[in-house]
Amino acid sequence: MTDLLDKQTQNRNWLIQKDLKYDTNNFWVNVDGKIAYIGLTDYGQWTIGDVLYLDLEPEGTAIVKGQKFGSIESGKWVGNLLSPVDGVIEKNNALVLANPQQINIDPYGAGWIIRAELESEKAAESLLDYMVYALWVEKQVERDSLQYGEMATH
Amino acid sequence: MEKWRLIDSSPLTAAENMARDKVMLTTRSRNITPDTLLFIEFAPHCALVGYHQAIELEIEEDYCLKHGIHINRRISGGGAIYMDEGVLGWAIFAGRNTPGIPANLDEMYAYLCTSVVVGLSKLGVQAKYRPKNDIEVDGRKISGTGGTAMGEAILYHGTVLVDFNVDIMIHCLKLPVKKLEDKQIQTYRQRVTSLRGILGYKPSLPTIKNALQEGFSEVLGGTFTKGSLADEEEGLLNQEIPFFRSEEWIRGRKVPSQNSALKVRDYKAPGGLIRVSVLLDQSRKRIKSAFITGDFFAYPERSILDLEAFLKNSSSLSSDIHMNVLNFFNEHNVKIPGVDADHIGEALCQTISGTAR
Repeated sequence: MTDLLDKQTQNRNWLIQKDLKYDTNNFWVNVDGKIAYIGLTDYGQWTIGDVLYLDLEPEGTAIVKGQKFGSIESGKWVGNLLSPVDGVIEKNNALVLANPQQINIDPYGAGWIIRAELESEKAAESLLDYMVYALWVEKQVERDSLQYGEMATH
Repeated sequence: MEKWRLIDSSPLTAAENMARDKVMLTTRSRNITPDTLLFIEFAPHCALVGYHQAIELEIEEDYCLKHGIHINRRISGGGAIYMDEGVLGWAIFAGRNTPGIPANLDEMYAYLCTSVVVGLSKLGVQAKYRPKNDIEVDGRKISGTGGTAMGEAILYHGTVLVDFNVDIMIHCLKLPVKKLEDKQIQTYRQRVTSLRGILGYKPSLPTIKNALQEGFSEVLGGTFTKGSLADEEEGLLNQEIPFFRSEEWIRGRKVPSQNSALKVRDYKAPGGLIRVSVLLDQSRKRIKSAFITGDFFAYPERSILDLEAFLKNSSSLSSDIHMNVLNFFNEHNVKIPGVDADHIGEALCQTISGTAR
């Protein structure tokens, strides 16, 4: 059974899986040797909202940490998907390409986005563990809460 | 208090405007330029698709060609729009960490649209934000918005309909009205409004821009100083314009799994006839847009317009439709004599499945 942290901040809950690595663009990375599954976190999919379109670079494309490997659209917002690791796209998830809302429904499961072959087994070492990511999420939410509260006073 | 740059541009072509969006977002993401409010005008008139859309599914290309309407693609999301000299565009280029701008997109839409709502109030127009991305007056859309991000910078832009030519919009975009009679198309025109329509006159563009600037200043809490493109932006713009005029940009970007089908059906409810016209993306099982008319009377009067906005991009699965319509009726306390949520839901479902007339 997957070990999950139920992160509650500002009366909102997001699941953070304990056995994964994370980055501050809200990607999770599940590393097994040189193979990594990559997807958006529960908090990440919440910030984006209902996903309508997903466009990914073709399989076999090299991906570079911090560089775009696809785009995602929700409502009327287009965001770039920035790779959390260096490697090559081995497989795009056909299920989320056909039904991008899977990212909202099951972000850590059926909603995975790409499977990559890492440049090296150390490619994911600099990513965050779940506790650090959880703290980062908390800071983001607190920041937004304060700012949104200020806006409401206008 | 944050200092914003204000750029009030003269009219540009669609390709030039689209290229400038990309350039200004790029320079903001590189921290070369400050947070900026930009006013945008188009000449000649144009039809613009959203970043992921397919032109052949959204635009009546023959009509556009015949009438000199440029076709281009935005770097932001959302649906196809028509822009002419009666539409004023506005855009915010800002850092993600700009005070007040929330990370959650729905919250950000509400926040930034509030600026436009406040701005319109300076003109005597009582507008409201309508989720997810519209600004409306009495249920009729006066502004649509959308956005994108690059690195740590965001672009959020929208329109204000000043004196809008609805007829050309109906002809140049693939809207859910193509199979309808004139009477229903007349009803469709009521889905949008303009400053001239509300105020009875067309305020001057400087007056509208001033009002919007005040709205952004009040909500975002900054001061605005008139400026122009930086040298780096001018240089990048000259490099980017040829690409934004190219077929590679205009036609090259689309998500392959999408499609579009127009379905029209009549449904007889005890309270009257419901006519539903739906643009459907069958691949992704989404309602792209819905148009609901009939000889029934809804209270509040605007509720059907709000329901149409609510259904945009929602699931086209039968169970979801019934649930969404029921929730909408309950939340908005919708009353239609002889027509309940189940009738509207069933009319939509039968239209989508094509089972009844």
